[in-house]
Amino acid sequence: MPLILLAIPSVFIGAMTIGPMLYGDWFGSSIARSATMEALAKEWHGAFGMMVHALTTLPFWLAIAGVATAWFLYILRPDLPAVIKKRLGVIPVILERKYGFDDFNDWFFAGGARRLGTGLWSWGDKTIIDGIMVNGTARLIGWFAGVARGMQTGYIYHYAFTMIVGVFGFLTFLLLLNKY
Amino acid sequence: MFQGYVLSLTIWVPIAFGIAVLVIGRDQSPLPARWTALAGSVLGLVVCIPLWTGFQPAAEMQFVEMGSWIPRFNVNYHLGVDGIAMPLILLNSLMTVLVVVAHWEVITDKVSQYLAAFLIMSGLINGVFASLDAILFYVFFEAMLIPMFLIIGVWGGPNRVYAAVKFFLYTLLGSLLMLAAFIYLYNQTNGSFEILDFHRLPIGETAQKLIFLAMFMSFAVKVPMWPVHTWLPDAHVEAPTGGSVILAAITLKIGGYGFLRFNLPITPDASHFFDTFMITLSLIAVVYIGLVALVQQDMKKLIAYSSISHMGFVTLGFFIFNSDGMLGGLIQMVSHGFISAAMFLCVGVLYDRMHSRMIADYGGVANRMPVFAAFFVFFAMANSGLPGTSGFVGEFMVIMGTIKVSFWYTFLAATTLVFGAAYTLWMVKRVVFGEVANAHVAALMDVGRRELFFLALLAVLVLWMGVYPKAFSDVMNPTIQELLRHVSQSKLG
Repeated sequence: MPLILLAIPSVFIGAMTIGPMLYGDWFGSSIARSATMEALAKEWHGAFGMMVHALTTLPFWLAIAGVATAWFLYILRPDLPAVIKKRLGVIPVILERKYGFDDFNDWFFAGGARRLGTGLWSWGDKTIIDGIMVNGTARLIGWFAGVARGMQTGYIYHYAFTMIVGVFGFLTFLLLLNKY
Repeated sequence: MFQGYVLSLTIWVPIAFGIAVLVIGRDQSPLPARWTALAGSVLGLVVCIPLWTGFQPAAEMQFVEMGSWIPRFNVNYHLGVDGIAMPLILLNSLMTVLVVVAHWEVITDKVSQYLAAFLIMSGLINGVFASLDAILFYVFFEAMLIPMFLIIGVWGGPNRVYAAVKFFLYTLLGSLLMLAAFIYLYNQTNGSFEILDFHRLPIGETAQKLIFLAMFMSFAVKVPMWPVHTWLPDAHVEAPTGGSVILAAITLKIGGYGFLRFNLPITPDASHFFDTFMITLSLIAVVYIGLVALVQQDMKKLIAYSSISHMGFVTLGFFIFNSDGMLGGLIQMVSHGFISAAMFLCVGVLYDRMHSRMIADYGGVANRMPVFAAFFVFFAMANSGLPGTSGFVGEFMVIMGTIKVSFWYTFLAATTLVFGAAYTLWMVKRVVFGEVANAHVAALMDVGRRELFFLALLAVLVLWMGVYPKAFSDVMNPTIQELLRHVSQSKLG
């Protein structure tokens, strides 16, 4: 019932507005009128003319044939669909599975994107960026600090020796700087 | 009466109320603190209204305030806003109200400290957007880390300390290089920290490149751009709902704002030199992070990754150097503020009831929470870039701008429409639709008036910007046009 209630006004609103919307000035200057629409407007003879013209076209009669076939198979002879399906073998399966396109899309696009996403997250974010670059840097600093801590012996002669080496290195640097 | 001090009020009113909340707050009776915080946040928003009503759509700085702060180093208390900063201040002040409302029945521990942290942070963030002195900017920029560090570290989840330290270190290390660049520019300008002086300063090629990289380190972390993004998912997952809202809606925008205020106008030649590099990182963020978002099992983590991907669109728009791209990027920043806040608030609504953020714990929520489900689906659609919502406007403009530069950039950027729809709607499908998954979902109650308020308000804003973006673009456009003109002129001389 709701579909019927929606269908009735759709027919009337469509009949009343199709002309001004497609070929009239319904949208004012908001939409540019193309040459194609101008050419099509010459073939436009109103909603009733369009309806009558539909009776002479193949799609209309194919649609009617579809309705008639459905009525015949599912209301007049509901025993027939099962028999036809059995006789046609694999064809109904192919049609029901939409030629396998949905299965392919699920496996290739959806599944592929998930597998790629999992790989990027696991290897890119968790292993390389967080594991090696971020936490690896922290570990490297920790290791270096551990090594540097080993040099802090507490013996004054060790510190004095380090200072002498430092002064020697600094003076060498200055001498080389002046020379070159 | 206060016409000459509007920007100061937007900074100091929330901070003053934050301090007042701290002073009057008592753990045993948090109600006075709650009401004071609400009053402070609402007043903070009210004092921003003249910024919108009195703003002239022009490129120059408006509502300017100037006072000497540290005369010895010529550091000034210099404030002003243009079409880039003003909308972000309004966005921040609005989000503070929502965060205060959102906390009401949720936060029960150290309520006054929680609210004070948000109010003080709100003022500091307004200071970041309003500063025209580099040191003033730097002080606000660094100071706002402290309340956010506390919000994540004190009121966060089980792994909050790790997340807070990671957030703090990332952003602090980046900004130290920016400070070095400021000091170099101070010397070059013969002793000025004025950002507008930096804009006018001729700078050599090598210096421009180094300054660009120094500032890039700071703002890329903030955005965040790939590969310096991994602090954000951790911070979001551990932060309380309010923290996630401010992180996503506001603090990420500081990165984008920094590129517009500092990198592009101060180093225009370097910006052109590094444009391919920036576009590449942006596109990696869009595609790589979009794929990573797809496989997340935690709703907050998914939205966090989604934020990184959307912010990739922002930086892409900025570095293609045309009007559609740059304006689109700025609109995308504001739009993402609305949508990401709404998404995190939606997750917060669910978390408050179920104490789980895992997608697998949900299913069939629409059967028990139809009103909430309607909002959640609406915001998910907006996050996917549905026409008629704000999410569409910025992305569409950036795509329009990108197609003028390169088909392949556009092709890769447009994958966000596919990935965005895939990860967001797949999450919504698993959480909202289907049969009621378990007894916990069966016991769910729909949103109350408080939750309805903030969800409806954000829905109106998302629709407003989606249907009539002109209200926003008119404000932003003169500044963007002036910035484009400035960036098109070489500073090499």
